[in-house]
Amino acid sequence: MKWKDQLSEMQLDVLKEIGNIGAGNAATALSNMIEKNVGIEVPKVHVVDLSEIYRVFSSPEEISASTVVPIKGEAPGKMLMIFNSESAKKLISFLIGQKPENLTELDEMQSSVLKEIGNIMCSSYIIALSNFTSLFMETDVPMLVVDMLGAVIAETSILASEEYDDVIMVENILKIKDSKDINGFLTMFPQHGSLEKIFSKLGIS
Amino acid sequence: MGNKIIIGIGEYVVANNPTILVTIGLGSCVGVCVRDKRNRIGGMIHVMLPETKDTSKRMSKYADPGIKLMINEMVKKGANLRNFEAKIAGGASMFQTKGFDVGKRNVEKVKEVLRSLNIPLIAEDTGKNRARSIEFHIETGELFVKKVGGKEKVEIIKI
Repeated sequence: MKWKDQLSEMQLDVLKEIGNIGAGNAATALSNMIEKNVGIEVPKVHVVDLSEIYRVFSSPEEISASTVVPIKGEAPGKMLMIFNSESAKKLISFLIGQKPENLTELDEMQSSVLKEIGNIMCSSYIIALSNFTSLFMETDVPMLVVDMLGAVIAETSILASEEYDDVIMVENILKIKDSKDINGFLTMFPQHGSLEKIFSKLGIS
Repeated sequence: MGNKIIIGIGEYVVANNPTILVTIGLGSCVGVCVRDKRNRIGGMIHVMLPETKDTSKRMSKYADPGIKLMINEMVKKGANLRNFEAKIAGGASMFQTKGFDVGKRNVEKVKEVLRSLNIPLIAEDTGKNRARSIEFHIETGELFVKKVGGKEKVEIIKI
Protein backbone atom coordinates (compact mmCIF):
# COMPACT_ATOMS: atom_id res chain seq x y z
CA MET A 1 0.00 0.00 0.00
CA LYS A 2 1.21 3.51 -0.77
CA TRP A 3 0.21 6.92 0.56
CA LYS A 4 1.37 8.37 -2.72
CA ASP A 5 -1.51 6.79 -4.62
CA GLN A 6 -4.10 7.85 -2.04
CA LEU A 7 -3.53 11.55 -1.44
CA SER A 8 -4.78 14.43 -3.58
CA GLU A 9 -3.03 17.79 -4.06
CA MET A 10 -5.63 19.42 -1.89
CA GLN A 11 -5.13 16.93 0.91
CA LEU A 12 -1.39 17.55 0.79
CA ASP A 13 -2.07 21.29 1.10
CA VAL A 14 -4.25 20.66 4.11
CA LEU A 15 -1.43 18.64 5.70
CA LYS A 16 0.84 21.66 5.21
CA GLU A 17 -1.73 23.87 6.88
CA ILE A 18 -1.96 21.42 9.77
CA GLY A 19 1.83 21.64 10.01
CA ASN A 20 1.58 25.42 10.16
CA ILE A 21 -0.96 25.41 12.94
CA GLY A 22 0.76 22.67 14.93
CA ALA A 23 4.28 24.02 14.57
CA GLY A 24 3.06 27.54 15.31
CA ASN A 25 1.73 26.35 18.64
CA ALA A 26 4.91 24.36 19.35
CA ALA A 27 7.06 27.41 18.52
CA THR A 28 5.08 29.52 20.99
CA ALA A 29 5.59 26.85 23.66
CA LEU A 30 9.35 26.78 23.03
CA SER A 31 9.52 30.54 22.98
CA ASN A 32 7.86 30.72 26.40
CA MET A 33 10.27 28.16 27.82
CA ILE A 34 13.50 29.77 26.68
CA GLU A 35 12.28 33.38 26.46
CA LYS A 36 13.54 33.90 22.91
CA ASN A 37 11.82 34.45 19.59
CA VAL A 38 11.15 31.24 17.72
CA GLY A 39 10.20 31.27 14.04
CA ILE A 40 8.85 28.56 11.79
CA GLU A 41 9.56 27.86 8.14
CA VAL A 42 6.84 27.01 5.65
CA PRO A 43 6.07 23.31 6.31
CA LYS A 44 6.91 20.67 3.74
CA VAL A 45 5.08 17.43 3.17
CA HIS A 46 7.28 14.52 2.13
CA VAL A 47 5.76 11.39 0.69
CA VAL A 48 8.77 9.14 0.18
CA ASP A 49 9.26 5.49 -0.52
CA LEU A 50 10.69 3.58 2.46
CA SER A 51 13.76 2.72 0.44
CA GLU A 52 14.41 6.44 -0.18
CA ILE A 53 14.14 7.76 3.39
CA TYR A 54 17.87 8.23 3.83
CA ARG A 55 17.94 10.47 0.74
CA VAL A 56 15.61 13.06 2.30
CA PHE A 57 18.35 14.11 4.71
CA SER A 58 21.75 15.43 3.73
CA SER A 59 23.45 13.62 6.60
CA PRO A 60 21.42 10.60 7.71
CA GLU A 61 24.18 9.36 10.01
CA GLU A 62 24.42 12.60 12.00
CA ILE A 63 23.99 12.20 15.75
CA SER A 64 20.81 13.81 16.92
CA ALA A 65 18.58 13.95 19.96
CA SER A 66 14.98 13.01 19.29
CA THR A 67 11.93 12.91 21.47
CA VAL A 68 9.43 10.33 20.28
CA VAL A 69 5.88 10.94 21.42
CA PRO A 70 3.10 8.44 20.73
CA ILE A 71 -0.27 9.96 19.76
CA LYS A 72 -3.37 8.24 21.13
CA GLY A 73 -7.03 8.88 20.55
CA GLU A 74 -9.13 9.09 17.39
CA ALA A 75 -6.22 9.77 15.02
CA PRO A 76 -3.22 7.88 16.45
CA GLY A 77 0.36 8.05 15.21
CA LYS A 78 3.76 9.33 16.30
CA MET A 79 5.34 12.74 16.72
CA LEU A 80 9.06 13.33 16.54
CA MET A 81 10.98 16.40 17.73
CA ILE A 82 14.58 16.27 16.53
CA PHE A 83 17.49 18.54 17.42
CA ASN A 84 21.00 18.24 16.08
CA SER A 85 23.77 17.91 18.62
CA GLU A 86 24.67 21.61 18.91
CA SER A 87 21.02 22.73 19.12
CA ALA A 88 20.20 20.20 21.81
CA LYS A 89 23.19 21.25 23.92
CA LYS A 90 22.34 24.95 23.62
CA LEU A 91 18.71 24.38 24.59
CA ILE A 92 19.77 22.46 27.68
CA SER A 93 22.11 25.31 28.63
CA PHE A 94 19.32 27.90 28.18
CA LEU A 95 17.18 26.05 30.68
CA ILE A 96 19.59 24.79 33.32
CA GLY A 97 22.61 26.99 32.80
CA GLN A 98 25.22 24.33 32.00
CA LYS A 99 26.03 23.05 28.54
CA PRO A 100 26.64 19.30 28.28
CA GLU A 101 29.78 18.12 26.47
CA ASN A 102 28.38 15.07 24.73
CA LEU A 103 24.85 14.02 23.90
CA THR A 104 25.86 10.40 24.48
CA GLU A 105 26.72 11.13 28.13
CA LEU A 106 23.82 13.26 29.34
CA ASP A 107 23.06 13.06 33.04
CA GLU A 108 19.54 12.49 34.29
CA MET A 109 18.74 16.19 34.66
CA GLN A 110 20.00 17.08 31.18
CA SER A 111 18.22 14.26 29.42
CA SER A 112 14.95 14.88 31.22
CA VAL A 113 15.10 18.59 30.30
CA LEU A 114 15.65 17.72 26.66
CA LYS A 115 12.91 15.09 26.70
CA GLU A 116 10.51 17.54 28.29
CA ILE A 117 11.22 20.24 25.67
CA GLY A 118 10.41 17.71 22.96
CA ASN A 119 7.36 16.51 24.83
CA ILE A 120 5.94 19.99 25.31
CA MET A 121 6.46 20.84 21.64
CA CYS A 122 4.91 17.63 20.35
CA SER A 123 1.98 18.00 22.75
CA SER A 124 1.42 21.61 21.65
CA TYR A 125 1.30 20.44 18.06
CA ILE A 126 -1.21 17.73 18.88
CA ILE A 127 -3.40 20.06 20.95
CA ALA A 128 -3.57 22.46 18.00
CA LEU A 129 -4.38 19.64 15.60
CA SER A 130 -6.99 18.24 17.95
CA ASN A 131 -8.70 21.65 18.30
CA PHE A 132 -8.57 22.29 14.56
CA THR A 133 -10.16 18.95 13.66
CA SER A 134 -12.33 18.41 16.79
CA LEU A 135 -10.87 14.92 16.98
CA PHE A 136 -9.92 13.61 20.39
CA MET A 137 -6.14 13.22 20.49
CA GLU A 138 -3.67 13.04 23.35
CA THR A 139 -0.01 12.21 23.82
CA ASP A 140 1.47 9.22 25.62
CA VAL A 141 4.75 8.84 27.54
CA PRO A 142 7.68 10.41 25.62
CA MET A 143 11.05 8.76 24.97
CA LEU A 144 14.42 10.39 24.30
CA VAL A 145 16.68 8.70 21.76
CA VAL A 146 20.21 9.87 20.96
CA ASP A 147 21.34 8.16 17.78
CA MET A 148 21.73 8.46 14.00
CA LEU A 149 19.10 10.75 12.48
CA GLY A 150 18.16 8.41 9.62
CA ALA A 151 17.66 5.44 11.92
CA VAL A 152 15.39 7.36 14.28
CA ILE A 153 13.21 8.55 11.39
CA ALA A 154 13.04 5.10 9.81
CA GLU A 155 12.28 3.40 13.11
CA THR A 156 9.48 5.84 13.95
CA SER A 157 7.87 5.54 10.55
CA ILE A 158 7.97 1.75 10.75
CA LEU A 159 6.32 1.87 14.17
CA ALA A 160 3.67 4.29 12.94
CA SER A 161 2.50 2.33 9.91
CA GLU A 162 4.08 -0.94 8.89
CA GLU A 163 1.46 -1.70 6.23
CA TYR A 164 2.73 1.08 3.99
CA ASP A 165 5.63 0.97 1.56
CA ASP A 166 6.09 4.70 1.80
CA VAL A 167 6.22 7.29 4.53
CA ILE A 168 4.37 10.54 4.93
CA MET A 169 6.11 13.23 6.93
CA VAL A 170 4.87 16.71 7.68
CA GLU A 171 8.16 18.52 8.20
CA ASN A 172 8.43 21.72 10.20
CA ILE A 173 11.66 23.60 10.81
CA LEU A 174 11.87 25.82 13.87
CA LYS A 175 14.52 28.49 14.21
CA ILE A 176 15.58 30.67 17.06
CA LYS A 177 16.12 34.09 15.60
CA ASP A 178 18.97 35.45 17.67
CA SER A 179 21.02 32.25 17.73
CA LYS A 180 21.30 31.07 14.17
CA ASP A 181 22.63 27.62 14.88
CA ILE A 182 19.59 26.29 16.75
CA ASN A 183 17.33 24.30 14.49
CA GLY A 184 14.60 21.89 15.32
CA PHE A 185 12.80 19.45 13.08
CA LEU A 186 9.28 18.57 14.15
CA THR A 187 7.37 15.96 12.23
CA MET A 188 4.20 13.93 12.50
CA PHE A 189 3.74 10.34 11.31
CA PRO A 190 0.06 9.41 11.03
CA GLN A 191 -0.97 5.82 11.56
CA HIS A 192 -3.03 3.82 9.09
CA GLY A 193 -6.57 5.25 9.08
CA SER A 194 -5.73 8.46 10.95
CA LEU A 195 -5.45 10.71 7.91
CA GLU A 196 -8.81 9.49 6.62
CA LYS A 197 -10.39 10.61 9.90
CA ILE A 198 -8.69 14.00 9.81
CA PHE A 199 -9.70 14.59 6.19
CA SER A 200 -13.25 13.45 6.76
CA LYS A 201 -13.61 15.83 9.74
CA LEU A 202 -12.42 18.65 7.50
CA GLY A 203 -14.75 17.60 4.69
CA ILE A 204 -12.08 16.72 2.11
CA SER A 205 -12.02 12.92 2.18
CA MET B 1 37.84 -0.96 -3.99
CA GLY B 2 34.65 -1.67 -5.85
CA ASN B 3 31.78 0.68 -6.34
CA LYS B 4 29.32 1.16 -3.52
CA ILE B 5 25.65 0.34 -3.80
CA ILE B 6 23.32 1.72 -1.13
CA ILE B 7 20.40 -0.48 -0.21
CA GLY B 8 17.23 1.13 1.14
CA ILE B 9 14.82 -0.19 3.74
CA GLY B 10 13.00 -3.28 2.53
CA GLU B 11 15.22 -3.76 -0.53
CA TYR B 12 17.86 -6.24 -1.57
CA VAL B 13 20.70 -6.14 -4.08
CA VAL B 14 22.78 -8.96 -5.55
CA ALA B 15 26.16 -8.05 -7.04
CA ASN B 16 29.42 -9.43 -8.35
CA ASN B 17 32.91 -8.76 -7.08
CA PRO B 18 34.24 -6.14 -6.46
CA THR B 19 31.27 -4.36 -4.99
CA ILE B 20 30.62 -2.91 -1.57
CA LEU B 21 27.04 -3.18 -0.38
CA VAL B 22 25.95 -0.53 2.10
CA THR B 23 22.89 0.11 4.20
CA ILE B 24 22.34 3.05 6.54
CA GLY B 25 20.56 3.35 9.85
CA LEU B 26 19.47 -0.15 10.80
CA GLY B 27 17.36 0.08 13.93
CA SER B 28 15.13 -2.91 14.56
CA CYS B 29 15.74 -3.84 10.91
CA VAL B 30 18.34 -6.49 10.15
CA GLY B 31 20.96 -6.34 7.41
CA VAL B 32 21.51 -9.85 6.08
CA CYS B 33 24.70 -10.31 4.04
CA VAL B 34 25.20 -13.52 2.10
CA ARG B 35 28.21 -14.42 -0.01
CA ASP B 36 29.37 -17.24 -2.24
CA LYS B 37 32.96 -17.27 -1.02
CA ARG B 38 34.36 -19.08 -4.11
CA ASN B 39 32.52 -17.28 -6.92
CA ARG B 40 32.48 -13.95 -5.06
CA ILE B 41 28.84 -13.20 -5.60
CA GLY B 42 27.19 -11.37 -2.74
CA GLY B 43 23.84 -10.06 -1.65
CA MET B 44 22.48 -7.80 1.05
CA ILE B 45 18.89 -7.38 2.19
CA HIS B 46 17.53 -4.77 4.61
CA VAL B 47 14.84 -6.76 6.41
CA MET B 48 12.15 -4.75 8.15
CA LEU B 49 9.72 -7.33 9.54
CA PRO B 50 9.73 -11.09 10.19
CA GLU B 51 7.32 -12.57 7.67
CA THR B 52 4.31 -12.25 5.42
CA LYS B 53 2.13 -14.65 3.52
CA ASP B 54 0.38 -11.89 1.60
CA THR B 55 1.95 -11.85 -1.87
CA SER B 56 0.47 -8.45 -2.76
CA LYS B 57 2.94 -6.86 -0.35
CA ARG B 58 6.50 -5.80 -1.06
CA MET B 59 8.14 -9.13 -0.30
CA SER B 60 11.65 -7.78 0.19
CA LYS B 61 10.51 -6.05 3.40
CA TYR B 62 10.18 -9.41 5.12
CA ALA B 63 12.83 -11.93 6.25
CA ASP B 64 10.53 -14.64 4.93
CA PRO B 65 10.28 -14.66 1.90
CA GLY B 66 12.76 -11.78 1.25
CA ILE B 67 15.93 -13.75 2.01
CA LYS B 68 14.80 -16.66 -0.17
CA LEU B 69 14.13 -14.29 -3.09
CA MET B 70 17.62 -12.84 -2.74
CA ILE B 71 19.21 -16.31 -2.57
CA ASN B 72 17.33 -17.34 -5.73
CA GLU B 73 18.70 -14.34 -7.53
CA MET B 74 22.23 -15.15 -6.38
CA VAL B 75 21.88 -18.70 -7.66
CA LYS B 76 20.60 -17.34 -10.99
CA LYS B 77 23.75 -15.22 -11.21
CA GLY B 78 25.85 -18.36 -10.87
CA ALA B 79 26.36 -18.67 -7.12
CA ASN B 80 26.48 -22.13 -5.58
CA LEU B 81 24.52 -22.77 -2.38
CA ARG B 82 27.31 -24.99 -1.05
CA ASN B 83 29.71 -22.03 -0.86
CA PHE B 84 27.32 -19.74 0.95
CA GLU B 85 28.05 -18.00 4.23
CA ALA B 86 26.11 -15.28 6.03
CA LYS B 87 26.75 -12.38 8.38
CA ILE B 88 24.02 -10.32 9.99
CA ALA B 89 23.77 -7.03 11.88
CA GLY B 90 20.93 -5.00 13.37
CA GLY B 91 17.83 -5.95 15.33
CA ALA B 92 18.38 -3.28 17.95
CA SER B 93 15.72 -2.02 20.28
CA MET B 94 16.21 1.74 19.88
CA PHE B 95 13.04 2.70 21.69
CA GLN B 96 12.69 0.91 24.99
CA THR B 97 9.35 -0.63 24.16
CA LYS B 98 8.05 -3.16 26.62
CA GLY B 99 7.00 -6.60 25.45
CA PHE B 100 6.89 -6.10 21.70
CA ASP B 101 10.49 -6.26 20.45
CA VAL B 102 10.49 -6.24 16.64
CA GLY B 103 14.29 -6.28 16.50
CA LYS B 104 14.54 -9.52 18.43
CA ARG B 105 11.79 -11.15 16.38
CA ASN B 106 13.49 -10.06 13.16
CA VAL B 107 16.82 -11.60 14.23
CA GLU B 108 15.14 -14.87 15.26
CA LYS B 109 13.29 -15.12 11.96
CA VAL B 110 16.40 -14.31 9.91
CA LYS B 111 18.33 -17.08 11.69
CA GLU B 112 15.48 -19.51 11.17
CA VAL B 113 15.37 -18.79 7.43
CA LEU B 114 19.17 -19.13 7.09
CA ARG B 115 19.07 -22.46 8.97
CA SER B 116 16.30 -23.75 6.72
CA LEU B 117 18.47 -22.94 3.68
CA ASN B 118 21.56 -24.53 5.30
CA ILE B 119 23.50 -21.29 5.08
CA PRO B 120 26.00 -21.05 7.94
CA LEU B 121 25.85 -17.84 9.98
CA ILE B 122 29.52 -17.04 10.60
CA ALA B 123 29.24 -13.67 12.35
CA GLU B 124 26.67 -11.36 13.86
CA ASP B 125 26.32 -8.07 15.69
CA THR B 126 22.73 -7.88 16.83
CA GLY B 127 20.50 -6.59 19.62
CA LYS B 128 21.34 -3.86 22.17
CA ASN B 129 19.88 -0.40 21.63
CA ARG B 130 22.14 1.33 19.09
CA ALA B 131 21.37 1.89 15.41
CA ARG B 132 23.90 0.52 12.93
CA SER B 133 25.17 1.31 9.43
CA ILE B 134 26.91 -1.51 7.62
CA GLU B 135 29.29 -2.09 4.70
CA PHE B 136 29.73 -5.53 3.20
CA HIS B 137 32.77 -6.19 1.01
CA ILE B 138 32.01 -8.94 -1.48
CA GLU B 139 35.70 -9.42 -2.26
CA THR B 140 36.77 -10.30 1.30
CA GLY B 141 33.49 -11.03 3.03
CA GLU B 142 34.31 -8.42 5.65
CA LEU B 143 31.39 -6.67 7.28
CA PHE B 144 32.02 -3.26 8.84
CA VAL B 145 29.50 -2.13 11.44
CA LYS B 146 29.23 1.55 12.40
CA LYS B 147 27.58 2.64 15.65
CA VAL B 148 27.37 5.78 17.73
CA GLY B 149 29.54 5.21 20.78
CA GLY B 150 30.64 7.27 23.77
CA LYS B 151 31.55 10.94 23.39
CA GLU B 152 29.44 11.17 20.22
CA LYS B 153 32.18 9.27 18.36
CA VAL B 154 31.33 6.76 15.69
CA GLU B 155 32.73 3.30 16.41
CA ILE B 156 33.51 0.94 13.58
CA ILE B 157 33.95 -2.76 14.18
CA LYS B 158 34.77 -5.49 11.68
CA ILE B 159 33.01 -8.81 11.94
